[in-house]
Amino acid sequence: MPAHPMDIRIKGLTHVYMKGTQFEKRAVDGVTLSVAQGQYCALIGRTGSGKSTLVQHINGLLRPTSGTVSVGGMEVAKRNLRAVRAAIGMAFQYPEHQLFEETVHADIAFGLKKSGADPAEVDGRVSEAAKAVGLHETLLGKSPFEISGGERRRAAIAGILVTDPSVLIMDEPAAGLDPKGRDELFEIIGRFHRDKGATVILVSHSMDDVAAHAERVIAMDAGKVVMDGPPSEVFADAGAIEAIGLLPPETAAFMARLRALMPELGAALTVGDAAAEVARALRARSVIASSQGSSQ
Amino acid sequence: MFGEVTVGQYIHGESALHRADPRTKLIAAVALFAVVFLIRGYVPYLALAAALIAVAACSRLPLRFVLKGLKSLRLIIVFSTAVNILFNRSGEALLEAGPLTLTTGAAYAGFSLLMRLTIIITAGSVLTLTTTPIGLAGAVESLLSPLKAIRVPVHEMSMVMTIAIRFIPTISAETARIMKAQAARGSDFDTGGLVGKARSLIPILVPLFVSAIRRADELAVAMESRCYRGGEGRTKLRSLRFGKVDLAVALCAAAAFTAFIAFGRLPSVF
Ligand SMILES: Nc1ncnc2c1ncn2[C@@H]1O[C@H](COP(=O)(O)OP(=O)(O)OP(=O)(O)O)[C@@H](O)[C@H]1O
Ligand SMILES: [Mg+2]
Repeated sequence: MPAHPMDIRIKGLTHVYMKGTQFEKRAVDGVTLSVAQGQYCALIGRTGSGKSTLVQHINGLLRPTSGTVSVGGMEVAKRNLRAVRAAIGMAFQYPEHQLFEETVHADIAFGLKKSGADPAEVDGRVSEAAKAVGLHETLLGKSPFEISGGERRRAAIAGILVTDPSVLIMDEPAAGLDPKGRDELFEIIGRFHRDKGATVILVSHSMDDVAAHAERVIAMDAGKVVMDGPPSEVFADAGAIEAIGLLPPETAAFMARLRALMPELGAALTVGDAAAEVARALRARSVIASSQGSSQ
Repeated sequence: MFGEVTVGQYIHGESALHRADPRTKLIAAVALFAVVFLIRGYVPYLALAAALIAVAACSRLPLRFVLKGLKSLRLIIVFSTAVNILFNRSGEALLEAGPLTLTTGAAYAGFSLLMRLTIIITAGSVLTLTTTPIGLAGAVESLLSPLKAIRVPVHEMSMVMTIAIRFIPTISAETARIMKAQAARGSDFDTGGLVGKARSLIPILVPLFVSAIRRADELAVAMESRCYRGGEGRTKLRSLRFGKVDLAVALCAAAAFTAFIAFGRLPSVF
């Protein structure tokens, strides 16, 4: 972990698009929030709730209409932009659309060179990043336009991980991937989070992915933060989740229905937890049943 | 930083000016541009400006939008007006300030240039603010359709124009997105000399062209799968019809222009 923890502090942040026109839109409305270094957060909310707008303030791609944002004690302002952006890796939806270099290798190295890394180190770090995302060495010499879509996505993510950011912001990174691709992507993010102690902010519409990976869930609606807590807490209130236009994770819904048959069942958000919980409940029943049987 | 784009220039409204046939508006605008150069004298210009203000008021657009065009061209307007005033020596002296003399000729030259530019720009703004770009493209196609007789591909040209207009917001949103993605990776668009700045465009232009070409390809497939085959015998979803509003707009415009040309050309009346 770096000497200064890269905590993110957002105070009273408001962002109004096209201020003063008929298209004026208050996309983020008075958000106060902090994220400690090393947290794995998910940001959820229906489409248009302001998630992308909010995260783009963290690395200064958008300027607040009012309020402040600071990262690791630095205010996100013009004079700090370079340092802030060096510390933050950000992937937008379909990050592969940003590829432009002649080779995959050069594209992964782009951000690294921009950050002024030692040229002698570049090759090694590119290979390492390529390996981290499961991109085969032989692809590094190819043009980004002649590899498959899934490989392009990996290359783009590698280009973000290569600079070793302390904060990783992923805006719907799994959009358009097949189920296996999703799992692998979350595997990559999870490994980066664990190994480097990086903060992860995951914007996602998949409550299942959120429940499976995040330790904290922040829900937004109409530009405001409406819920904030561990997944078990946020998803416990299915009514509140539905009220902001979302659906609880499939597994949570499944467990709620199963509870009608087995009232003693606890909550679970992931398939693994659910299986364990059901097994525990069944075992408890059979222990009761067998102890009743033996007592007779 | 990444430019918030107002979609096209068109601002939706329900006024007579919005509802009028784009062809009527286009012809009226072209006629107005001609009139601007035909009339002479202080009073005709002021009267024409007043008439234009009345028309702009009919559109019920917020004044701010109507004046936006003037605001963005203010340097050109001020500069060319100033040049006209400074270097014109005709007529009698009106004012003398040190080496500078303001003659009657210079005052009028400055005034007429100022009025011409202001009127043309404002009229152009009113036209584009009240007419959808697609409507304008349709008007151009319809007005140029006689040229089809001499094998000018009018429909194809208009289709190209329509598609280009349609994709301006898409492409500019795409540009903003790519710029953000590259900025997040450490790209820097403001620093460095000319060469540095040009180089910093590469990470934007390459993905932009790639996506534009991909889009063009998808659009072509989508159009062909809907049996698009060019202009021959096609009808339109919104066919242009010359209605009552148009007749009224056209008559008003014609009357006003005749009056202006008739009276505005009388030399040195005012
Ligand atoms: N560049 C822009 N100009 C004007 N309005 C915008 C712009 N970007 C977003 N908005 C508006 O701001 C609001 C919030 O948008 P934002 O992209 O932050 O939502 P989101 O939560 O990320 O949605 P999604 O889940 O669909 O990505 C929306 O109503 C949107 O229409
Ligand atoms: Mg978004």
